[in-house]
Amino acid sequence: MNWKRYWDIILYRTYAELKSEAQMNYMGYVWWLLEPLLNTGLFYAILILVMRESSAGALSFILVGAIIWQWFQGAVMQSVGTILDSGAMLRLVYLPKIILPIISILASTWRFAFLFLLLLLWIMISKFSLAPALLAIPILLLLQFAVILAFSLPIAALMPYFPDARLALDISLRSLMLISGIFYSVEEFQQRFTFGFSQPDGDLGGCLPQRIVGWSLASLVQAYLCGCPGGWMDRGFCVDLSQD
Amino acid sequence: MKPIIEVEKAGLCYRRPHGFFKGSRSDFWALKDISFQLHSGETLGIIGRNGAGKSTLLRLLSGIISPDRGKISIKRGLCTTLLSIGVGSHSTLSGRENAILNGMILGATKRHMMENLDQIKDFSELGDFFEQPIYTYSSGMHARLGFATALQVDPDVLLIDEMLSVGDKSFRDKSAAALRGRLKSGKTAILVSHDSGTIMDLSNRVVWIEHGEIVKIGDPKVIMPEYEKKDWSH
Repeated sequence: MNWKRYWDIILYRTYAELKSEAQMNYMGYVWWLLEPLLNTGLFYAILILVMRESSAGALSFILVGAIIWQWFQGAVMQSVGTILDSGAMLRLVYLPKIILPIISILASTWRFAFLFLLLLLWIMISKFSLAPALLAIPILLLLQFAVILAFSLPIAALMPYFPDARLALDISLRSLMLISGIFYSVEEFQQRFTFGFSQPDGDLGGCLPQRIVGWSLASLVQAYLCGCPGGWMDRGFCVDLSQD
Repeated sequence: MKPIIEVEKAGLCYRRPHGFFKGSRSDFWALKDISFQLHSGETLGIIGRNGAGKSTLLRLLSGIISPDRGKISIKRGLCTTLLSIGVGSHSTLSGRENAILNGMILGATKRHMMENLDQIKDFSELGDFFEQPIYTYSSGMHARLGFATALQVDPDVLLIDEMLSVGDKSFRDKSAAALRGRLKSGKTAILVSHDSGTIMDLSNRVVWIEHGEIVKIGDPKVIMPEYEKKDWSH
């Protein structure tokens, strides 16, 4: 196995995928920013205008959730069909199949990194206050990336055998989004969806980065299993913002 | 001399896809008990009618698929590549970028492709189009870029499936000559072709396959006349 060559292929095809995506639309890379903003606007309208929920800092609450959810959903949806869709190429050359979904996941991660940096910038310019628990963010990002890999790779491998799974996955992800951290705070989430895991230990007060560190692993697993992959880090920023 | 590739009683079965409500699965053995050896510097021709299993055999040898029975032993570290045009291309990338990408997918390193970009540009005769996205190319230009790229990928064993020339008349002659030159320079290769002249001219040995089984294997001068005289009506 020449992994150096495969790694070069992964990087080059990731670049190609990002470039292709930008060139296929008139507005190119602007969509990277526009898509989460439009999603945020939509979710905000549903939450505030339709459901009449009111909460301080709701816009930033939703924005952070939407950006992180989009990373998860985009990576999963774009990667799961890659092996199936590359059938013509795979009939002509040998490539380890795992590199195909990884290319799409990296492309989504690159888009997320761009948005995340903008988000950090915006938060720092506005009302962000530093908390030691922010050190947990890199761990959460790695955890999120691991969840994306764990979710996407097995489904991408099974997709050529069960092509119908793509439709089922689309519906499942939409359902998952509705119970994700975009719409519910962790406290609400705990009250509404408790499936027998232990309740979080530690202090629930204060901003969420501190809570993240204090909470038990079981709670973290519960949040992920319940479809809340972005519902941790985002709360940290939002609580901070809303407290001002 | 020890062979660099040894195929021992290799068989491959295609399982025809079936839906949930479409009854039982049916199997089709495209190759049955294929055995032969390939030595370094040799060009092995493969002949047979359509559907005989020639392309499947090349896919087995390039590692794209594995045999369902039997064994294929390839010398450790040996790179076998099925010569293909424009595999894994991205329409929005330039000719230059696609040449690098295609070459890497076909088995070359990025560095090797970067070092040979000028030769690819010259051979493909694309001029300034080399820097343009390939969705602006005609089909002939696509083929020229693909062939020029594939020619620069230098695997240990070249697997060629009926692809000796592409493009218009002048480029067809040029590409055929380049590939023949490569094969005659002592490159180890396996060549599938329906053209008796090509097989006679380029091959040291020939394997005749029918219905997934080897009919004969040996000197092209002996086997090709027999192959051509064969009455296919039965």
